[in-house]
Amino acid sequence: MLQVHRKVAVAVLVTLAASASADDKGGVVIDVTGTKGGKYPIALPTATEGDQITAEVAQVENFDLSVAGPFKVLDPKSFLANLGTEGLGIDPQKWKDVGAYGVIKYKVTGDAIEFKLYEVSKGAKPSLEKSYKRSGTDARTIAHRWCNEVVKYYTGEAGFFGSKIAFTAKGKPGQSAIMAMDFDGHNAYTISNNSSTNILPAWSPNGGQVAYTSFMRANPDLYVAPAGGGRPRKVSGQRGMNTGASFSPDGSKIAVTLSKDGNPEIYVISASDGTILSRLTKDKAIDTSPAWSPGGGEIAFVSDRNGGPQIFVMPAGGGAARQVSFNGSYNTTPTWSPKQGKRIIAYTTRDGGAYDIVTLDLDTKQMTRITQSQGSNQEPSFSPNGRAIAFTREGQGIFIANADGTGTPIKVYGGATTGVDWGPAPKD
Amino acid sequence: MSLKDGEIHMVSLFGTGILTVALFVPVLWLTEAAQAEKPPLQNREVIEATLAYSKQPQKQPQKKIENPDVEKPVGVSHDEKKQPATCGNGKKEDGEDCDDGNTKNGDGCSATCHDENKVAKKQDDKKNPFDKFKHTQDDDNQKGKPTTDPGQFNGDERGFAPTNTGDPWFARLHRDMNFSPPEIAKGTSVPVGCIHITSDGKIPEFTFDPPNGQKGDDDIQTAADSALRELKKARNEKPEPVPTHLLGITTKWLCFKFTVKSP
Repeated sequence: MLQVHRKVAVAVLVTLAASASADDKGGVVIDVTGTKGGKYPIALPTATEGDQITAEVAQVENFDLSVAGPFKVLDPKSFLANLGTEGLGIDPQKWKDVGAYGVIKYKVTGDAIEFKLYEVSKGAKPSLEKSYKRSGTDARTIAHRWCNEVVKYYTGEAGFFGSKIAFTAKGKPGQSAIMAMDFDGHNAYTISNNSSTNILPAWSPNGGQVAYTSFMRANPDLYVAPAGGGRPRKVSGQRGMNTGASFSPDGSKIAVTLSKDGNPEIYVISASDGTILSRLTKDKAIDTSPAWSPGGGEIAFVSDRNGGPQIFVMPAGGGAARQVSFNGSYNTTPTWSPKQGKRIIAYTTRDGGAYDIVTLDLDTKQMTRITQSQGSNQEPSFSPNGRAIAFTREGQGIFIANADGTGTPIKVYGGATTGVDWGPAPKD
Repeated sequence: MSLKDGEIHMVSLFGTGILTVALFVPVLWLTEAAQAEKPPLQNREVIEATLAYSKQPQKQPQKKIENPDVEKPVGVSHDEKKQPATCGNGKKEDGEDCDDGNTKNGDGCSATCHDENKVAKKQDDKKNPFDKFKHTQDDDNQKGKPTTDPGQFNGDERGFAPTNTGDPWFARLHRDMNFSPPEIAKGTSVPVGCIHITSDGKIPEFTFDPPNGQKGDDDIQTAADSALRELKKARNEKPEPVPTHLLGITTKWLCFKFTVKSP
């Protein structure tokens, strides 16, 4: 009996001891999980030299990484670091304190511009650094190249900085010109050189040529000109319309709208001499605005065969077309995203009385609004890496927006414009 | 059948003895069980604590310390032949601790001839003997402000967290943390960061140097740093007091393991 009572007594004592040790467990951590998303905060302090070139590099860096898509450029007013003391290096803690994940420093000298990218988690050692010789290359081009390196470092994708956008600039009534500019609106120049109506520019895949329709010989014929401007070559002069050219991915063919048989239909012609290779549509309806997919297997176009204008997709070699847009009664100007592995198109949609840009994933059916009733927005075109979309806003000019619909579109060119087409990535 | 006075007396003595044994045997059993592990002084403390927290109402062991300020009534003692002591006659007699020839208090020997220092100690003994056992909460006061201090923050100790973090207070803490690495964040580390939180809910500091060495050098580490920075800012601007039942987390570093999951 004494043994039983002894066990009871021990049990009481053990209970007390066990609860005590549970309270002093130690080593227990709380799990916190998060998913990746949102922008990457990056600091772009301006170099302290204070000259024009330094300022220009800062301006290009700021613009490029702001429109690149994945970055959030921090406000310089929030910086705590002593830039004069830091020089090309960084004090990681000072940048952590303002929420920066990355910091870019640069230095302009007489013959070179040196850049360093720091990831604050890695301390004071740069993760990426490059030096560019200045001779024969302007500072803006150098800064664009550096920003492409930064985008590639983080995303694995080529950047689009230094690419160009072709567009139609309206002039006097009955007159419009084909122009091209750097994607950020700088260095605009004319490609066409006539006093007629010139519309619907389209870049060749290698960026060496621009196709466009011109009324310079009274009929809307299709021409191809060197991308830097110069004498155009007539590629298609069929009776009636020769409009809305779209190059195949290999550049050997052009999808175009011809009305030679009385009704606008989609044809494929040779890019070299305009020979008709195939007719893709045979319908009483109007079929126009062809857009070749990045993989070359499909062509999107606009048709009113089911009522108002809607977006259709058909095999590039011909075959049944199926309607893919079902929102509203007016959808036009389709263009394909170049993103690998995705089938995404952007197009103009009329919602009420306003025109807006939307994207549509043909596989998931997910639609994303790029603009929302901020004027009349039309004729979208994707950047070479698919992260941005350029479009025109009636009466205002050309804007660039994030392809995921986030952020606010940025104006890059002011004036009356139509017919935007974003050229390929630059070849450095 | 009636019992004679003497028999009654013997029966009452016997009964008292049985009662005494019944009361004190458990004490002896417990004493025996604990004796091998702890010194006798701690045995007594453990026993008293056990009895205090026992759910069965138990009669407290009778204290043998008597109220020194109450005169023993005449006739209670068994020994009726002894003369009562006279306090203040200068002679220390039975029942007296001292006799300084007066009946004044404050001179070391009280007006009733008891050592005034001993009286003070006896008064102390009348206080709750369990006051020396610290409690993080009053059993009768589950809500509201803590009635006892949980203790000082120990910067060398980490990871004190309740196993059940489903408490709404923790859900709000997690919400204010906002751990969300950017889309293009590089790295695969699983950093562990710790905060020092005070009872009023403020966070004076956080750290990323836990003893197990889990500290990354990539963007995930920066995201975790940013999350704790945001939490610190949010809680210092609008502190949310730590509930009474969670006060233990204020004495050590409260640690978090940051993991990125696939979208």
